[in-house]
Amino acid sequence: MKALDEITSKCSDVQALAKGGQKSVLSAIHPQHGKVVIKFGEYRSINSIERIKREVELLKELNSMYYPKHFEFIIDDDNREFLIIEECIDGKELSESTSAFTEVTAILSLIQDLVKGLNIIWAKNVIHRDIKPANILIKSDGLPVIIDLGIARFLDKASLTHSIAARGPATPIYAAPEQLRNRKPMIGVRTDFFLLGILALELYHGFHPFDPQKVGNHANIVDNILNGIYLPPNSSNNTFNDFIEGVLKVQPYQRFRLPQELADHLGIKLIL
Amino acid sequence: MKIYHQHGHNFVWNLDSYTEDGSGNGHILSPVNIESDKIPLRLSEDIRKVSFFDPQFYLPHDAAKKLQTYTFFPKNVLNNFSTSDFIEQAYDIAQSCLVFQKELNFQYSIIPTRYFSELPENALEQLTSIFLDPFISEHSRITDAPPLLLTVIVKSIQLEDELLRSELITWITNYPELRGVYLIFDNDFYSKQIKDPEYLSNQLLFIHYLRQNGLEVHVGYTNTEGYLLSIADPTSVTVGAYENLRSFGIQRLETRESGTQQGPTPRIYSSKLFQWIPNTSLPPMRRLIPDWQGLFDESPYSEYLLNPSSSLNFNRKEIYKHYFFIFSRQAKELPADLQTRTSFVVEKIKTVLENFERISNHNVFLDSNSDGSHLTSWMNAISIYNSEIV
Repeated sequence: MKALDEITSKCSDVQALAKGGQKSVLSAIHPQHGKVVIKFGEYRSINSIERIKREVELLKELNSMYYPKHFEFIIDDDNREFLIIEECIDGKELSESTSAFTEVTAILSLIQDLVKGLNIIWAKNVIHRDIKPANILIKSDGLPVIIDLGIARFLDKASLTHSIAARGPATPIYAAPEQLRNRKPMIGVRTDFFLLGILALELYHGFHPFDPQKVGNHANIVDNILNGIYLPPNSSNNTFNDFIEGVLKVQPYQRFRLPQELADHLGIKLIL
Repeated sequence: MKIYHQHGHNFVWNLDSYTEDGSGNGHILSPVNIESDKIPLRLSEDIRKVSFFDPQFYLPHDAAKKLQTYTFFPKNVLNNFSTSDFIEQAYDIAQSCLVFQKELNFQYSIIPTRYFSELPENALEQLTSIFLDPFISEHSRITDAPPLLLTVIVKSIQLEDELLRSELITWITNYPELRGVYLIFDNDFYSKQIKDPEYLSNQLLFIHYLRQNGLEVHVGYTNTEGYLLSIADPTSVTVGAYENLRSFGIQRLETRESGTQQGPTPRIYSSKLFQWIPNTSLPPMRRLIPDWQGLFDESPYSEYLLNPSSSLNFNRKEIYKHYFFIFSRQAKELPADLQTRTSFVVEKIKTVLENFERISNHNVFLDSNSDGSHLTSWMNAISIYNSEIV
């Protein structure tokens, strides 16, 4: 890709970070932006480039410590290629930092931060839909940064998901029942609430809370999510217990309804 | 629980009942029965303040005569009706419909809906793009607009099928801009009373979950089951004159509508029986049951209704004004606390069942549209409902 060559030639310390599917990720020191990640690859359909465009537009609008800053976006329509330059977050994936979040108070503190961060996009009618340990980076000061809005649902824009698909966009073991069933009208903030519940309870137990071996059945994680079968916490912290109960209901309408309601429960103020 | 008058043909009876007898708490206007310019003439501002206007976009391509006087009715705006045309005009329609409701000082701003005879796969997406999004957006631009109620028609399948039910409740509760819903259960039963305990318990659960989400729930087109529904704490249920106002059917809103439904047998409502008793059953009751009058309620109209020399026909206003009066009184008697209310309703039903037993013990027989056979369903519905919400 011509643009990639031009950009990397200006940068120093260029290193490959990851490669998967149609996308590759580099880290580099950019002369203007400092330490950056460069994501590039091919796009195969109008839908996939539309998703990328939406993610980029959103990140451009956000100026928050909870999200990486966006710097540049280049599309090469002739070759169906794209390139994105973003702030490189100096932190570790949550999946590599779980030891810092074994105590209920630490988990609750993380959830409080994530709710504050997610509320910024919820207020723009955007649902993340892919909250999982790999999409949360923990900085050295403990602050989480939310990444990868690649399958976010923009409620004010046309859906990019085919209605006939059996399953909606999701990481299946970190998905809410309505995502797994591809029930589009049911996607809302409460979808993200459910994902926060899985995340919190996985940190608490040290294993996936819907794991059939742990709950004692012969189903699989996805079936257990669909049926609401999980190992509940055995904590003396009622704020935590009630949070889990209030977000992991199979029916979205039985979960906390609004971000403010969740914030009130967690004892935090939401600031946009 | 409040009572709203569901307007239709001869809605003047509802207005008189409200002003003269103090029956009910407000009104739901039916534009298919009143021209737009007549509203301020027929309903004072004091009445409009406690009432709301149902825009009746149920058949947006079919403007019955009086609907033609509403400039925002879709058929009057769109030359060639199609969903894509509708989407294009949806924001303008929403704006003028909301301004109309605000300028007449109604209690709520109603977001209309359309009727689907067969529920399409993308029904909620359609409703979101032609009604919900435009009305919410335009509402936010109108200063001091009354709070929003979303009209929702619940098809039987959406009550029976857990996934569809869940989808509908989730969709409704996704919008913090809504104060509540104007809920209409699309009733396709042949009997005059609903006798399916599953259906009734699902109605109760539907209302319950909406209330749990902090929404006002105004249930339209209710018959005597409105009393049963009270245990799920709806904000209001309705009373209506003719049968087509006590059970929703789209026929009323089609251009071939003739004003009233066939119903030649006049019936008298009794709160002692939770039933409408045909006047043809009165002679045997009079003859065979001592103190038969105790099975009926006293109202300013009861003397006329129960008098054998009255020439009752189903178009007599006394029949309906009596019902409005009695049912409103029943609603006022309901305890505020829900647990106490449920026990109260259960005891009432038991008493009513005893009353029916008394009738049959005196060898008076009522047909299946007039007997107490719906009440066992009510009891079972309460049991199912209670087991679900624990």
